[in-house]
Amino acid sequence: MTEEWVLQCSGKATPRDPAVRIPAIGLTIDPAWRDSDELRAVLSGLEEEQVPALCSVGNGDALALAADAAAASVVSVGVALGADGRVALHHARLPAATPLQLIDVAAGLAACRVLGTNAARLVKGIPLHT
Amino acid sequence: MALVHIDGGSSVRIVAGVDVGNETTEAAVARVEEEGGESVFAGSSLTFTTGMKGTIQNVGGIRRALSQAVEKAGLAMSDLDLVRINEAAPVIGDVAMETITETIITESTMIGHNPGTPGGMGLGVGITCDIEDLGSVGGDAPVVAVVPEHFDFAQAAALINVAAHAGVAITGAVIKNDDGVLINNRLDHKIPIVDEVNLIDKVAMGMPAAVEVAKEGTVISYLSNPFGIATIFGLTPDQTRQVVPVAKALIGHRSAVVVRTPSGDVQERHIPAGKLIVFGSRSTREIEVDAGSQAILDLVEQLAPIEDVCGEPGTNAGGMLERVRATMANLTGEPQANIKISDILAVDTMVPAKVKGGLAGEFCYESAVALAAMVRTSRLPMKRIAERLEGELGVKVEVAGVEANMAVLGALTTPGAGKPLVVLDMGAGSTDAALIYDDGEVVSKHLAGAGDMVTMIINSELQLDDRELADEIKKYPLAKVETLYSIRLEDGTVKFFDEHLPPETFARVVLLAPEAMLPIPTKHSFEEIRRIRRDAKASVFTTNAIRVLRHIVPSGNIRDIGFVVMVGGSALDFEVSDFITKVLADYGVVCGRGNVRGVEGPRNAVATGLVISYALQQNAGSIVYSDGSTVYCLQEDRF
Repeated sequence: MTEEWVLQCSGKATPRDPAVRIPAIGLTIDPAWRDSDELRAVLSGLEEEQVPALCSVGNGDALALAADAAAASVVSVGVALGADGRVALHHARLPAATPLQLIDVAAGLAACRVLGTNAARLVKGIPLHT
Repeated sequence: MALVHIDGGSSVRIVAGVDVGNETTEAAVARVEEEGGESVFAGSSLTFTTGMKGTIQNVGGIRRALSQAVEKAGLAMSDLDLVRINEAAPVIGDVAMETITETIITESTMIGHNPGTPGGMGLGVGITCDIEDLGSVGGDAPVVAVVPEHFDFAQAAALINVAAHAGVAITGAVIKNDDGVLINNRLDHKIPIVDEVNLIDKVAMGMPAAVEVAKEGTVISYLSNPFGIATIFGLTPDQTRQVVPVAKALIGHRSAVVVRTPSGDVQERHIPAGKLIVFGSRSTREIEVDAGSQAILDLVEQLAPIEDVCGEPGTNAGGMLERVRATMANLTGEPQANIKISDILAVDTMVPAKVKGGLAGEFCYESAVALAAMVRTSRLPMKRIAERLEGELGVKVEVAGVEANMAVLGALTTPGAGKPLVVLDMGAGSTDAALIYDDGEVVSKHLAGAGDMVTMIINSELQLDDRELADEIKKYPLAKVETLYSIRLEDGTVKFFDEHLPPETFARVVLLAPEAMLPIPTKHSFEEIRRIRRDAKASVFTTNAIRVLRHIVPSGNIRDIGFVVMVGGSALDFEVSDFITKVLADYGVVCGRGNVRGVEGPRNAVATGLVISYALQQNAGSIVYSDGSTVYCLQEDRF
């Protein structure tokens, strides 16, 4: 897995072209989660909803990583799996301390996938999974 | 109160008027100066009626209304000299709804459904086959793969790919999980995939099936067409007739699956809705409920005045009216045979009903009739209520005045209103009208159907099963949460917020209640909810406004009415009064929401009328009333 790649809406992972700012969710993962089932669960939530994501590896806790990813995202939505073992969903227009969703990976793979689904639905403007 | 002079010679009495309605109890308190003096309205109140109107339980609500009004007036309960209660109109309304068709899709033909994200595209026809058995399919007959819950998308896609490479003709897939896109993305040969099929265990293997997924933004075209289904399954004309309900239930979906077993007997069963027997004063006629609401209303109008209405025993119509009769008998303590239905209002509706044989909770729209019935009882026992209240308060309580006359007196305090005038009282249980002629004579009429019926129609058309939510949808305007910081309102304008909105409201249709934004927990679109709400109000209130006015105007010609003042709880509704004003404007009638005493809006008409009628008894000439700052003077001939 490279340091930066794009999950296309067709489900394919491709290298990122830094010259293009694609409208995609920002997804940052702490290296600890690089090849985890939790990451695959979040990604499958995004893929089922057919929304692209710009994925990168970075160090930090979920909340801060997600806030940064959201700030950098063209669609203002960021998701992160942090070193603190948590998964966060953030929006650039929310205060940094109040993410839309913040869960512990212990909540399970299904919860991770729902978080991915909700990130995509936030971009699409359809009601979130409850 | 600078303009209020209390003449040293006359005595002042503190008088309260109380109006007990189906839903609310209202009170007005005034200082009434006797012998040509002024009446100063000092306080009013509005509370919920306790118990059913006309029962002894009403006393609790009356006491609460009185104490609130007295407190607003800066007085104590002990200051009251007289309490006047309305002689409540002896009519009570009730509502009921029955579907008159039912779609049953038996387990031998199953259908589904409309997930958010199906996979692939096109039409796939084949024999259902469990994904585990794909490897052992012999011959080249096409199959539809059935994927139960315990297969994740990667496993499922791998199994389908392996089988396809081995030469199995897989034409489509039906899966339990929300994995349609994920599986499709991993297939070497793309096939249509319908996912989120909750009842996948009920799909029988080895049966002919068809899976259809339309392009994004479009709807299916084969499975929503009876001839399409007939082509796929090779049906005879008789069998094709039987699959009409299947096609009907799938219209407008982006994806669908139909599984057929040999003994398929899907049918649309018409429940006999039954006949209504309308007893007019001159003749008796029968009408099928199936004939629709307009035919029923025409018959009721033709036979008016109505003496009673019965339903054919053993049918839905019969059951519905007998239930209404039983409720009323219970309430009034009169034998059921003595309860006469004096009016009915019928409204045609479409209600979504769960399809029996659906694979994922499919709904099908069934025709239904909503009926409101008005029951005339002997006089309600207001006397008993008055006696109990007098005992509890130690204040003289009298039952005074017919409700309609009091409503007219109260409505006439609306600035700009004059005789001849019609008071249109739109409450929760009934729509009432009273006409006062130039000479002061009053005639009145009570019709079935009002706010409660609107709530019932909203509740069933949106399949809410939650009367409280339906009532809120009736009362509050809608908005759609478009971003975390903005909503779009019904008129298309966008409103922004400083603080972000709760995530659970995101992208949802919400109700703009005074203190909160309430998300509506259904999949209905903004436009759909708005249309259902407005149609329900129009079909009940505008229909009834025209009906009741035709009844009370002697010529039957609505154009002969000068003024129509709308009062009652439903006149407060944010759009009902506009609907009616618009309709009556076509007849050249001045019609608007009342503003009792220039301050109360469309509320408090009867309570105010009770006080004014007392003041009129005491004063021969004009009556002056005031609300503290403004003073109104009314000549007696105005009343």
